[in-house]
Order: sequence, then structure tokens, then C-alpha cells
Amino acid sequence: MPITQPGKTGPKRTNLRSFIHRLRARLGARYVLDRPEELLVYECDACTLIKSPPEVVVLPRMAEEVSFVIRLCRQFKIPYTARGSGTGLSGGALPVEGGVLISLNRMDQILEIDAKNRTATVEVGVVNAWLNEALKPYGLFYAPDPSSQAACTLGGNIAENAGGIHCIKYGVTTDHILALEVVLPDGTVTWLGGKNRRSHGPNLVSLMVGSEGTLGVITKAIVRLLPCPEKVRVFLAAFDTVADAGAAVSTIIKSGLLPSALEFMDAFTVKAVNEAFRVGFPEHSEAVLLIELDGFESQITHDELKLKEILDAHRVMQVRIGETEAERKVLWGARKGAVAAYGRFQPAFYLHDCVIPRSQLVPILEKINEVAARYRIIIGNVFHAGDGNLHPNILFDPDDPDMVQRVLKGGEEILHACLAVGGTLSGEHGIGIEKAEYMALQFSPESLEKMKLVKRIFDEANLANPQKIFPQRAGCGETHLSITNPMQLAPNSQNGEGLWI
Amino acid sequence: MDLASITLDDLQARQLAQPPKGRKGGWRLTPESAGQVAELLHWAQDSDRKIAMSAADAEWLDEPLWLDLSRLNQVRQHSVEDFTIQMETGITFGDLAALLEKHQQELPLSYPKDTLLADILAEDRPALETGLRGYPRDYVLKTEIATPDGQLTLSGADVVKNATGYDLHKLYTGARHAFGVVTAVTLKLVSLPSARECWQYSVESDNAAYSFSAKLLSSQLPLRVCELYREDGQWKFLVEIAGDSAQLKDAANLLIGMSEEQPRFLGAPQCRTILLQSLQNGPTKDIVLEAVLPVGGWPNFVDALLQRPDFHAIRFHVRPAAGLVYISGESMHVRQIEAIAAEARHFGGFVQVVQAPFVIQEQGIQLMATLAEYNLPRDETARRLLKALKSGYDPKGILFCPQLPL
Repeated sequence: MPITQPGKTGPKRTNLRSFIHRLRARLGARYVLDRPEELLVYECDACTLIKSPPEVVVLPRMAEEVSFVIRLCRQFKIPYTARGSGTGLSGGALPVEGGVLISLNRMDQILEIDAKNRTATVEVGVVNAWLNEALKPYGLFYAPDPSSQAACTLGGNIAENAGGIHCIKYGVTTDHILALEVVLPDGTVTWLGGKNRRSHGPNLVSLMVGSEGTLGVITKAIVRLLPCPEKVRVFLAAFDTVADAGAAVSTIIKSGLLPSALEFMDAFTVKAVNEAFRVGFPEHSEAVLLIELDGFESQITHDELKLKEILDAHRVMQVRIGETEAERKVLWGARKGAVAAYGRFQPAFYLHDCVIPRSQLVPILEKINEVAARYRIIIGNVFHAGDGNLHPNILFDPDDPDMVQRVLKGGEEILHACLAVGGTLSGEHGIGIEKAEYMALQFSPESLEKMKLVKRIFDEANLANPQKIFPQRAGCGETHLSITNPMQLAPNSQNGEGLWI
Repeated sequence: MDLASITLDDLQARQLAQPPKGRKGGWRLTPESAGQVAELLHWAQDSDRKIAMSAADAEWLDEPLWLDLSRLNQVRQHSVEDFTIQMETGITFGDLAALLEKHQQELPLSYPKDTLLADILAEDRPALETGLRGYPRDYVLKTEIATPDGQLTLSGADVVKNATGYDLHKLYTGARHAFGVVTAVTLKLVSLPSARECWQYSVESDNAAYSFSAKLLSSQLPLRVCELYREDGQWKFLVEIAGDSAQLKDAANLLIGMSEEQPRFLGAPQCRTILLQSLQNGPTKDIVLEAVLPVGGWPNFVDALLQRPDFHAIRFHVRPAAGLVYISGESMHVRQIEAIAAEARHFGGFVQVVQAPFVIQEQGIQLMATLAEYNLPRDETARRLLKALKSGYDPKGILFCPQLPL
């Protein structure tokens, strides 16, 4: 993971003052930041391993202003990177080559809630949780719910194709985006898509979702809404062994049950959340599953019987049910706060986001344990088991260089193991800068070349969020990781706001 | 069209100098592997030959070449426990469904048995279940495509969640092979419900149909299909419920109590298959348009068309949960098609041409080109992007697709 600084990889700007002057003339001096102390805030996103401040930050209020900025960037050949709240975990919003950081937080209006057609039209700076709050009176909800939903913006979710706890039933962001207003790299402002999921011609909307700001800057979206379920019930199931919990996950999937969430926590994570939040999860268990059923009462009652049969068949030790909203809040609060709780053991973590075939859960978890023992590192596992989306959190002390090296090597070994069983690099955090060098492990040069072809068609000048997604070095996934500017992450374990996964 | 079957070796040897004697002309290419498809496309690019993906499309070519994928029909990997299957796209939907049924699994969208998966994916073709179960694109996890540069490339992964690189597999699904030929795909599967039942309702007035549709869709029924169509001024509903037997018993009671008129039990899904398929596709001589509307907007759209004097012979078939309205008629005039498109735009939607056989053939390629324009977005920028993608992937335009004038 290289540390990059503007000027090192980016071109030297001789005309920056004139560029900034023109930005100020159009956007207003208040909304163009270039003092070092102002830029410092934007030097990284939640992937704090890598830092690189922009040369200037702009805070546009509308697509036309974004278009102006992009046109000016083209004229001056200055790269730009869009950013929401900066909660991304792959360095997607990191201005690797310096240039302009387009902060979209001022574009924060919910423009329309169309209950009849079950859509909402939003600006991309709207925080994910705000939308769901606004939808409550309509009995509707927006399904993608990354754990950072209290802070992350819908624009960031769209750029990274974010997931969340409820993806297993409702799908990821791309399944809920109907249309996008996009400022293309030539400065054109256009709408792609409409108020129906059926695409008119080849689907450009799903190409834009998850493209990490490399094909243009998304400024508005029409999202699909779903009716709130009548009833929700959460089950905490504790197991003696990881194998039993893993087998229970497989059987649940096989049974035709469609839980709205199916999450896994290992023994270490259970211990961590108990210490941090005193939630009383069964500590003598080796693995805990959090399973949520939602729907109509009659359906849940029926599904609950089926679920209990499955859990019993896999020797569940204990089942705890969260029926009321308060009980559910405790269970999900502990789950969402797990990463924050890790802060009690080590001050920093390094996180992977690979997805594996669900049948491989148990062997991969065994491999992760083996890696942890061999490299003498602590790995907490809390992840979306129903999707096979692992989140091995490797905890470390950034002041211990030897440990840092062991963490990086161990992490890479886990990633290789996941790819070897047919997995993928990222399930919901995106590639960004953090995993770009690994892309060559998953895709052939020819397959990568097709993605690059699309990038060139949209952004010939390569100014839209450069150095993201695609490996920059020759070679095959050789990352030469090194943390020279370690993250200073001290998750707040007091309020349970573990925003990250 | 009578096309001679030919292998790539034959093709290269003969260089397609002349069609076989006594035939109308043209060749049906039947590759057996994805590699052969790639090789073939490369050959076509080098030789400046256009290739169509169906016999009907090939007819428009001076030297017809039809790439028939039906021999590309191998299942590469069925991960039963992971609910994914990777297979070549020449497999028929019937064969796929039969294979999956053995494992109590399915792709929860139904199509005529002999339809090639490649054709379903090429159009991202809506199914009877689309409103409630989604589109084929929702189930595509990974694609392998052969492109005119002779390469086979991948996008996506064999897992159910993925945020790695561009979702090109989503772009290719529904692109009618404009950018490359989708030779293999990994699909996400679901459990086969243990029981299904189909019911039919008749509703007298238009307004009653609109409100009954809303009632059905907001009910607690385990709906799988909800279709309505207009026949002799009367609306008929076809409803399919799915689940286990206990659930269906409760659901059937609920269904019976929902309407004053007793619904007709059509039995297991097999009993309705032929009827529904004919509804879905219409008679082959018909022009069939697909109006795509915001999901709550279809009643106003249908109402507006029913008010028009020149629409008495037009048939409507609605997939309310998806906001899709199929409009068909034997002798639809271009003027009527434009009127339908204008109404769809008025209500925030658009129209695509699903089928336009005889009129097109009789009136020539100019009319076909006019109608095909409906299959592209009106927005100039979106068109420009699509055309740029087409020319990036297929610079010589060898992948001939008259329905998508890129």
C-alpha cells in the first residue's frame, strides 16, 4: 500500500493559482478551499492507511457547478476525485494525484419521494440514514444499509456499489438504482435511466454504479423503494464450533428460507462486543449467528419454525430472540459496533472484504485462524455469512513495524486463499487504491483491458479519479505493501458507532 | 431461411465466396466452444463480414451469416450448495430448468422451453415473474464474452456479491450481443418452491381492474406471477402463488375471499404455461410493443390509450408489479406506434419494439430502422456513449443487430 503525495505522482502545476482563481469566481470563495489546514481533512477516507491531500477542495451545490469544475479541470489538465462523507474503506475518495477534490456534501436534498411509484429522487450528498428517516411516514424504505449509514452518503454508496447487512435478501446498491444524473468527464450533464428498472437499451446505469468515480461524477439519483416489512424478528444463535455455525448457514440457504440478514461473529468478536457494550452474548460459544426474518406475521411464524429446526439440527447451544425494536437494537448495535470494540485490543485494523462461495466458509475460516497463529496476529471475524462476504479484521499496533509486516503478509495470504476457492476481491467496499494492484490476480490482462477500454471511452484524458481500480504496476498482483504512515485509528467503543463494515 | 451449416474450418477454406448452389444463400455457423466463437468473430472482423445472432436477422445481410449458439450448451460448474451455476449460453431454458429441478433449484423466471439462454440474456427478457422476481440481469453474476478482436474475457465472479471492477456483465446483459457474444454465464439460483398454484379472475371495468391489481400486490399472498390482460372489453387476472403446501392452502383461502366473483382454479403451473406464453409473445404476425412505465403509472397510460378512437383492435397485457404493458395488434400503423410512445413518455416511461415481423419484411429495412430507433434511449448523450462503446468493442460493426441501431 504505497503512500502517495501530490507532486510525487501527479504533474507539477504551474498554473494552479489561475485555476483556483477561476474556481472561486464561479463557486464563491467560501466553497473553494486550498489552505493546508483545510486540505488536511481530506487527505484520506476511512482507509487511513493511505494519505494524500488534494491541492484544492471545491464544494459545489449543483450539477452545473460540478460540470464547470470538470470542464476547467480538462482545460488545465488537473485530475479530480469526487467524495461524499469519506467513509469508504478502499481509498476510493483519495486524491492520489492531488488535484481537485469535489466534495458533494452540499448537494444534500431529498428532491422527491414518489410513494405511488416507489421511488425517491435525491442529491448524492444525502446521508443514507436520512433518506430512511424521511421515508418512515410513507411505510417505505431504501434497502442498502452499509454499517456506516449514519454518516455515508448515497453518492458514495453508488460509487462503490455498497452493500450492508440486508443485502442477502434485498440486494446491493446496484439493485436499487433506477437512474442517475451524471457529469461526464467532458463536462456534459446527463440523466441515464428512468423510473423503472427496465433499461432502455444497454444498461449504462449499472455500469456507472460501482465505477468509483472513474467514469464521471454522479450528482443525483432516482432510487427504488420497498414497502417496510410488517414484522421483523432477530435470532441470535450460539454454536460450540465454527463448523456447526458454517453448516447451519449452508442449510439455511439450501432450505429456501430467505432471511433478511445472516451475520457471523467469531468467539473473539463476541468477547470484544461483550466487553465493550455488555450485551451478554454467550462467550463460551465459538461462533454466533445473527439471523433476521422479516415479512408478514404469518410468513415469519412459518419461517421461524423452519429456522429453529435447522438450528437444532446443527447443535445450536443457545437461541435468543429480539422481537421488540429495543431488543433488536441491542443485537444489531453489538454487530455494528464490533469493529469499534476491537479498539480495546489494538489501536488499528487492516480489513479485507473478499467474497467466497458460501460452501467454503468453514475451510476459509480455518485458514484465517491458521494464518493468525502462524503470523502471531489477532484476527476478528464479523461478516455477512449469508453472502459469503468475509471481513477479516486484522488488528495491529502501527508503532510495531514487525507486526505491521506480519499483518500485511497474513492479509495477503488470506486474500490469495479466498481467490483460490473462486472468490472475489471485494463484496461491497470497492477496489479503490487499496486493492488495485490485486486486480491482476482476479482478471486476465485481456479482461482488465476491456474495463480500461470503457474507462478510455468515458475519460480519454484520464482525469476522473485516476489510479483507481486498475493496477498501476506491471506484474501480477505484486503489491509491495508497506505502511509508512500508519493509520491513527482509535475506534470509539463507548458509543458503539462502529461505522465501517 | 434455409442456411447451410458450416464449421469454422469450412468457412475459412471457402472464404464464403459463394452461397451453396440452389440455396437462398447464407451460412449457419454452429461453434462448439467459446474459443471457436472468439476465433470466428476475429475472422469476421478481419474479413469484414457481418454476423447476425438469429436466422431472421441474417436475412437482412447481403451475405447472410448466422451464429447459432445451440451447440454451445455445456454446464461448466453447478455449485449446488452455493446456489450458482456456470454454463454456456447455448443451453435451452427447458434443459436448464430440468437440470436445476433435480436439485430443487431454479432460476425463478420462466420462458418457453426451447428459448436459448443467450437470447434471454441478450434482451434481458422480462418473464412472467419479472415484477416479483426481477430480470435476468439480477441473476447474472459473471459473463464470458467473445469479442471481435478474438478475445474471450470475463467480468464478475462466481459468487453472489461482488464490487470488483466495472460491472461489465450487467452492461452486456440486455445489450443484444452488440459489444460481444456472451458465451458463458454464471447465474445465481434460488430454491424451487415445493408447490405452485395458478388462479384466474375476471374483472368487468377498467377501474375495478386497476384497484384489484393494487389490492393483490399489497396483499400477504406469496405471489409469483400477477398478469392481467384485456379480452373483449373485460380484464382477466392470472395469479400464481408459490410456497409450501400449508402456505398455499392459506393463500388460496385469502385469494377466494378477495373478490366478489369466485376465481377460477387453473391448477398447477403447467396448466397455464401455454396460455401465458401466448400472452407473453403474442401471435407471430403481431407487432408487439413493450411500454415501460413507473410501476404505479400503468393504469393512467392504459386509460389514456383506451380513450383513443383508433385503438379498439389493440390488445393490452399488463405486468403490473413491473410497470410493463405489452401492446399488440396485427395491423398497427407507425402513427399508432408513435402515439403509444408519446403517451408512454407523457407518463414518464418509454416504448420498445418487441416484435414487428411481417410489416417490417414487407415494407423493407427503412421501416425496421425506424422502429428499432425506439429501442434506444432518446437522450443524445446516452446514445453517444452507447455508440462509442459499440465502436470501441466492435470497430467494424461486424456484430449485426438490427434491433439496436448503434
